[in-house]
Amino acid sequence: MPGVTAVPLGGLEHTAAELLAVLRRVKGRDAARDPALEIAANQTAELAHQHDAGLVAVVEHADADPALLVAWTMAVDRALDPAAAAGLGHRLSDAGGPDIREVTRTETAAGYPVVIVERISITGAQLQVIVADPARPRVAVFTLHSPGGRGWLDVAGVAGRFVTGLRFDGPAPAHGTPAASGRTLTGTRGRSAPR
Amino acid sequence: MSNDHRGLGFDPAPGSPEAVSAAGDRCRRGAEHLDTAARDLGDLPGWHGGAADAFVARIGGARPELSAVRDGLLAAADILDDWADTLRAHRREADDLERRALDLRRMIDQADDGVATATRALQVALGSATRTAQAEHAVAVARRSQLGDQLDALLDQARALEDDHHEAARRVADRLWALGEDGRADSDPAPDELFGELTAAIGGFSTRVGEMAVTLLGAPAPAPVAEASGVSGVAGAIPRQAARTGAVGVFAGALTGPVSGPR
Repeated sequence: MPGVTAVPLGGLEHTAAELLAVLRRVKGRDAARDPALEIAANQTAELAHQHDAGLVAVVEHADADPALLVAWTMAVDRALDPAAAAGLGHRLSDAGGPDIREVTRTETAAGYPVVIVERISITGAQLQVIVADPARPRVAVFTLHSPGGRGWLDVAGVAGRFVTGLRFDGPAPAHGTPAASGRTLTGTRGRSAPR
Repeated sequence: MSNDHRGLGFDPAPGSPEAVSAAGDRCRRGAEHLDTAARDLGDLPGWHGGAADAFVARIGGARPELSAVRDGLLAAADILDDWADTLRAHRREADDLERRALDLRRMIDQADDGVATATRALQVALGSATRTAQAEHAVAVARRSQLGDQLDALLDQARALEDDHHEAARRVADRLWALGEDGRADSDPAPDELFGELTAAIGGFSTRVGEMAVTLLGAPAPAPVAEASGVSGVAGAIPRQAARTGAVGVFAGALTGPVSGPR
């Protein structure tokens, strides 16, 4: 999907190489040879593998600072229907802390219940999107983070169109732990967008 | 009242009071059936002997359990009746806000036309007519701004109603959960058990991704002060309109739209 570049997570070096390629495009030709970019890509790849992320993508828009989109799937005690999703929204509102700007509920084009949380902090602007599989006890948690914040609404729109393509496949992950496998998430494939 | 929410853009008080009342009625009918069953099974004319005595004794032993379930159903019916009343009140308020929002949006459309007309007049005004055109333009712009502020205030009211509505719904859910406290099956977790681990995980993801994003894309640079209040940094880089409606609205709108790109 234009504006979303997902990087492979099969191997650490491959992830780092793909992140570096994205960074060089995002930062522009002048900054492409900055050795700090490679360090940033390597460190981010290490964090992604260390935390068993199921999806890592860079979200771009011509009028916005780039944002990072990371997703995990995890098992829950029981499948969340829209009412339970509402309960989750209230819990996040109550327990989320002072950075939370807004919490709301909706559903994807496929009918999955969704809770959306917006946070604004000194580290940037962030959306967390919890998508529930009403047929199985599991959720996918997408976190979109823009350190710069410029054009925040634009990248949020791009990320929304990406996430709405989500389809749950396969068995639920082991209870209590985030799933490393992106195989449980299929949907809109990320493709790099020319600047 | 139409339920397309073109005025507010969202429904602050979703729910059907009629459906909730109907559920309460079903609970009461269930309680009555249990009463009838307990009575009928305790008196079996025409059947005597050891087996009959054992059966009656067993039913008698089950009466406390049946009574507890009956009481639970009646308590649930009362909670549902209260909730239906709250829902009706919230729905009346939501419908009123929706009507007012639609009216304001119509007036805003007219005000936009007024501004456009005044702007065109200003562009072609000559000589002494210029001052009049400027004054009329200023009036049109002020009117449009005032209507916009009124709509914003109305939307804030609607959001406050939405917060109250969800809070009330949560309290109802907690009360209904509490009814089942003693008899709840082991496989049914309480809300805190269901959401505690998930909420903690979501908070952890927030911190991790923030760290990853800053590592990859760089720390946020100090931004110029965007408002007189001195908001700076990321919050200052986000337009005021975004601060009011949030990226949540944009994301949600994109979420419910058609899927773009290959699947």
